[in-house]
Amino acid sequence: MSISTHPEIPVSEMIEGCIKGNRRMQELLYQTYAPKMFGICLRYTGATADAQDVLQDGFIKAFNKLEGYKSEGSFEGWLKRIFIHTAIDQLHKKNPVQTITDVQENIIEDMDWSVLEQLAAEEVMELVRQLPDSNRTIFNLFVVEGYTHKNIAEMLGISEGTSKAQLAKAKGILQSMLSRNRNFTP
Amino acid sequence: MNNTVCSSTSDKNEIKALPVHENIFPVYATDCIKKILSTYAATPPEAIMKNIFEQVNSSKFSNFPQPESPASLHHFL
Repeated sequence: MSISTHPEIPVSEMIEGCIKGNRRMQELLYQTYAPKMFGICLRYTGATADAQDVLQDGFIKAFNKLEGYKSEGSFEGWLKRIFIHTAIDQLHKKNPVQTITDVQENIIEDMDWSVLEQLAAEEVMELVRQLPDSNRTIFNLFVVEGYTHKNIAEMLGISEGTSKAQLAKAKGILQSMLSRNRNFTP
Repeated sequence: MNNTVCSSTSDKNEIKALPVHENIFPVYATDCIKKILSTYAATPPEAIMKNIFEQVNSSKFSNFPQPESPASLHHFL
């Protein structure tokens, strides 16, 4: 599913309408971005009920902060950052990232990575959602969002070493799950 | 496309000495997962939209004048 903005109403007009409290523009903005933001919430929280809470809190924050949005960068990027931070805050309250300095790797040789190409987006999402909270957060931030370990360490209040170790653990778990699915037929 | 996880070396100690993320997860797999997940979208339940607007409009926009009902406009006629 991809984001399609309303064909006749530019995002800037939606934002302006939302700031003025125009309900129609609020709904339009929500309908335009909610599916992708919900995808992000699911990706970070793992559980559907938690993702719904983050979606709700994220949009409330976004609508309340819209006046502060500077039209210089991408609006979607601005919105995405709000949802990522909201998801991280929620996960942090629930289960702070634990310091890990040593990771026991479970290296599976001869892994057929082409199994990834046979999986649908829903199935890849399901694998990521099965990761423990702290591993999933760092995997998302590093692999999908492209943050550096330094950025992640600052965002989560952990050391770079912990970020690297948590990422390695996430990748190891994912590799094991994919390996078990190598004969999987979608 | 190179789907090989580790180099052809059979020395486990040497494999472990490689940077962890390059060791167990090839760039191809990372790119593939990134592509799939960064475009992922899902439809949220409709009730969430109602909750959001109830909260947003009851706080931030509570001071905005509400549209007047036909009955309240009657005295202007």
